Amino acid sequence: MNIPVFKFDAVIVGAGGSGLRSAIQLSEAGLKTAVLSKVFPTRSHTVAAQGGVAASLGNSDADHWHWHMYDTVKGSDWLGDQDAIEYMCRKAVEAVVDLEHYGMPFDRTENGKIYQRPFGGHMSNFGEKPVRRSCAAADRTGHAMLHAMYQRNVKANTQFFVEWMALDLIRDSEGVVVGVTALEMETGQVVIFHSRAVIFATGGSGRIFASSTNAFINTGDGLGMAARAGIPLEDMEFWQFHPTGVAGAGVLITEGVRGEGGVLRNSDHERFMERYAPNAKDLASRDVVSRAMTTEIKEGRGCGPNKDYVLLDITHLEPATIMKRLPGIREISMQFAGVDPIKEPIPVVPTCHYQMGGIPTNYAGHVVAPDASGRQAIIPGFYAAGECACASVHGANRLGTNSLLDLLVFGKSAGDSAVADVKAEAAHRDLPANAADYSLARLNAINTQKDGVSVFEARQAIARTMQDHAGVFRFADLLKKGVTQILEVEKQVRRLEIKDKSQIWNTARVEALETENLIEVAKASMISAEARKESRGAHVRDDAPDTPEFPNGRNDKEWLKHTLWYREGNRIAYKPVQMTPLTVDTIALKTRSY
Amino acid sequence: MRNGAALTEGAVISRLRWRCTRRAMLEMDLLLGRFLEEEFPALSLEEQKIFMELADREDAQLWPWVSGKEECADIRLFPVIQRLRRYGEKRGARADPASVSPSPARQP
Repeated sequence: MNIPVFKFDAVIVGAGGSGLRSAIQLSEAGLKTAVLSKVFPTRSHTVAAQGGVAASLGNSDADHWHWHMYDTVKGSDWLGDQDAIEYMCRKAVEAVVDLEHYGMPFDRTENGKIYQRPFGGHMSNFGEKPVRRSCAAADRTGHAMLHAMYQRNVKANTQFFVEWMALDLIRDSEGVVVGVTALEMETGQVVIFHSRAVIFATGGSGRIFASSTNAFINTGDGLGMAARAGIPLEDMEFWQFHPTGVAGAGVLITEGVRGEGGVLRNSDHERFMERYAPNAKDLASRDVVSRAMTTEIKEGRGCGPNKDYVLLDITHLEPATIMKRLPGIREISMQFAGVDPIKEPIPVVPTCHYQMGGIPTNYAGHVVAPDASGRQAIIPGFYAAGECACASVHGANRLGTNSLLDLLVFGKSAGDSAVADVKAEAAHRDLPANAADYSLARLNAINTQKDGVSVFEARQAIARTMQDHAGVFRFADLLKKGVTQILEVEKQVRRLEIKDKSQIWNTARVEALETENLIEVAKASMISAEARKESRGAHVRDDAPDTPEFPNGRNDKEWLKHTLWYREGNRIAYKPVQMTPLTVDTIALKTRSY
Repeated sequence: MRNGAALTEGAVISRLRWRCTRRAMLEMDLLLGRFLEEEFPALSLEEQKIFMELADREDAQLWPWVSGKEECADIRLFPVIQRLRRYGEKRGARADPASVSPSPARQP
């Protein structure tokens, strides 16, 4: 088959924050740059990030990047790589100033400086007292950021391929990445993008869980492509959850609802948090509340026909208080839970929010994986940044507002690395023969499958299996069963069938392709979680409790290491955590408590 | 955004479905996706056109309108916005397992 070849210096997959930030570096360096995106760039999920971006500008309070670094290491429960964390925190100020120059409308102080707000976990003087460090543009930080960077890219002549889906990485016989295959939705045409640098900026994969705050677009396409190309995925057991997402829908109900007096109840109408946290009750920290909710559901005291959620009750509050103090909550409850919270409690479950793991990179944005001798080696031609990448700055748990910082800093560093590498090479390397065959075979299997499994069924099976076996609070027996079950689900995904065989705008086919990416993320997450026999950060196991020997269940002797999951044989390997920062002393291991 | 001139009606709907269910915000994926399945076919041709126009707008603009946080001042768009909002409240766009798949109704 004759497959068109488009030749670029660099191809970026994903047009959210990290993709757009990388593209600016490449296009402004004069390289011919393509950005592929499933949607128009300013519709990427970065829009949903409202909290702001952390940077120690010191505009509102005295601040220092070293304090920010300390908070990030502590937040990560010491699983973050300290070289990458130092790099990110030191570069934060520059990242914000760059955005300012791109026209980002940050909130201002009276004297015209960027206004900074407080955020959970941001402290001054190595954990001493709260500091205002988050820079925001009202509640539209992500949205404003995308617009500023998109405009900058238009000016720099970045070429956008909108409503295209990348299919697979192309590697030559030496393993060098030389391009990607992609599908244009409007025509159904498969194209080879032949390129000297490929940057993945595909975002998170939170749709593997039944309850997720992630938009539908977050199907882990970059992770699926990397895994199929033999590249391991790092620390995929670590997922950040929010305690109160609307059951079934995933839409977030803010913490403020409990702050205003909302209480959680089980099927016996009991205010169960009184048992788990007699003092803080419903205002206990996120992980404590999530764990209590999971325990109630697991022990059969969940609500609803499947007994799989609990209730967030504000019916005892005055309607006037609800309208005044919790604007928007009534509307969200009515639209997404189908209940008026003035009259009925809201069904909620702990809900997946952010993926800490991803494609392993160093702080320069190069993708790295062990070579034949076990040394961490750069995969030439391949870069990743943002939520799809694991640098690793978030380790076992992300500090709030570091996600936008991550995509700015590593988007830029990945772009800069790609510019340097492209300029050092004289020409494109040759494409391997039949470079699109693998992708075409995948498409053909989907197109010709008979008596197969529908995309809907397969997605349900993935999401249910992940939610029931590897949720916010984990149990050894469930994880074991989960591994068996997700491998069964994989067999269903191998037999996806679509009825629509058309070429033009065949969204059923695209959804099938997304599902093939979701299953790789799901396997990586379940298998990595089952293997890690400690509690750390967002990975909390019932059989690794808080003891004097292992505070919070964390076992540094055995588990201070990153997980690497390989698709082939579902093999797990480990690599050490980088404990040595670039210029400062190691932030020594300590028990994480707030 | 590309808007091919010669698409068949089926392809136009397919593209619309993609643009309704691959949005920046989960809230809008849920609301527009369900509305498309359940209410769109019954709209007048003029209303369908306006809905398609709205689907091409950004969530940062649409969400405040359909959640009642802001009023849409454009009287041409207003009736369809109102309809979306009322639909959302009525349907409770909602809490069922189908929400894990973007377009359950047309799955083969």
